[in-house]
Amino acid sequence: MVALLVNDREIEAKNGTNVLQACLDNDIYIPHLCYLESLDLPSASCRMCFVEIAGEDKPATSCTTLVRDHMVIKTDTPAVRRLQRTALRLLLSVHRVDCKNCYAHKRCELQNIAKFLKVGLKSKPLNRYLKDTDIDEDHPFLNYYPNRCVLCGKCLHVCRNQHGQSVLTFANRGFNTVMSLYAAAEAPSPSCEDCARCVDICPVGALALKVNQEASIHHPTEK
Amino acid sequence: MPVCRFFRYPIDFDSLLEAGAMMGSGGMVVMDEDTCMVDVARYFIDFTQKESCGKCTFCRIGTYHLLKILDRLTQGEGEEKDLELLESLSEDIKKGSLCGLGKTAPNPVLTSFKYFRDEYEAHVKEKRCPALMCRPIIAYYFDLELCARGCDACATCCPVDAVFTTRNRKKGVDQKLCVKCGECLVACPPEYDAVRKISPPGLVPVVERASEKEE
Ligand code: SF4
Ligand code: SF4
Ligand code: SF4
Ligand code: SF4
Ligand code: SF4
Ligand code: FES
Repeated sequence: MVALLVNDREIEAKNGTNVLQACLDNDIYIPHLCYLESLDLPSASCRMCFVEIAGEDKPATSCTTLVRDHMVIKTDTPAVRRLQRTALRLLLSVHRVDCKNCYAHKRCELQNIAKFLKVGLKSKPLNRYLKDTDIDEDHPFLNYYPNRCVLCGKCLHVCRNQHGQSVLTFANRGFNTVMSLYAAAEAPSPSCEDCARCVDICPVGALALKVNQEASIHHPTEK
Repeated sequence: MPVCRFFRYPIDFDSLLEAGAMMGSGGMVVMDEDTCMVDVARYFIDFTQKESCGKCTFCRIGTYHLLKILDRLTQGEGEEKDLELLESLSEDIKKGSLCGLGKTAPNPVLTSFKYFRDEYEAHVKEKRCPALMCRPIIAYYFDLELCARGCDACATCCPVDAVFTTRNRKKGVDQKLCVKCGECLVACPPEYDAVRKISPPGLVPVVERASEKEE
């Protein structure tokens, strides 16, 4: 066990734990979107989980930082908040915010983080740039919403963990990156219909089972 | 980097990095007062933005915003808030990105912003490109003092027939037709050297055409 000081409070953690996990285990919240405990190497792609570590000149992502004895950490400095707010605004600047028509409304991690960071869901002062397609309906059981996806990659990892290989994959590159679902014919084996792990892990409303959709949710209104 | 301040810098990777530049495989580009720093920054960001792998938030989305803002500036559509945004976003992308590409991508913006802020401001506040490079906010015209009576070099090369003849057989540019290609500037014989650029385009002198009959 090591002891570290987080926001002036002493907490203990097992050696080899990362700072994000250690804080979450002790009810110290750090905004995060891409971290998965089951993943050996964190993808560290959302760039949300910043903290300030005494002795380091700029904020570091807590999911990639292992705990050390006597570490001194602050989770709420102005530098940390600035990066987190910018990351959130960037994500919102490519997001179709239409919560009323989204099944993730009120259990959406983006909403939670926005509330926590006191950032409005408008992406101000950034312009908004949306993708042309709002819904990708090609998959027989799943719908995908590119303008809601934050590209955390969690869906891909849970699918791979469960089935050895993933139905979901990153497609395109750079600004045009999206998730893509193999069509049923090419899909190796898993039956998404009885699985839906990706839907459950998605921190926003970017994946949905078609059956649930038809039963209860209407599609986002085109604007 | 402005030469006056840095001309003693040894050119190797580390010292350039220190000075805020980034050396790629392309070597060094020497620029003079005919080079628009805003346009150069746009060029570099256009390059890195396309190189972004798309994995992390800051580089994937942030560099796209930088490019869009620089596009606006070079087109004379920038607003004052764009300058603030450009600077703060660049700083955040540098600190927030996952790998070296994103961490260095904003350097051309930050460096040019630091040393050539006046050029950025001219683009926003006066819609003026001091280096006369940003096409949407410049105009071409012929200096009538220098333009040679009866010479047709510019008119022959203009791809859109924007060059007209004045009453005393000199030349003028129809601003509505001109696509600012610069062909006439190249074609005008050096002994006359009559083609001028000006920014903002509103400052271009009014030149009268010869009336149909006279022509
Ligand atoms: S994913 Fe849905 S609930 Fe979350 S912010 Fe977007 S529209 Fe709102
Ligand atoms: S439903 Fe299951 S098998 Fe299908 S994509 Fe999602 S996680 Fe993978
Ligand atoms: S679909 Fe959901 S879980 Fe998958 S990358 Fe997008 S936001 Fe993450
Ligand atoms: S900073 Fe690196 S990892 Fe992040 S998007 Fe750019 S190239 Fe990819
Ligand atoms: S700049 Fe090009 S289009 Fe304009 S007058 Fe000269 S040659 Fe013609
Ligand atoms: S949770 Fe650490 S970068 Fe996403």
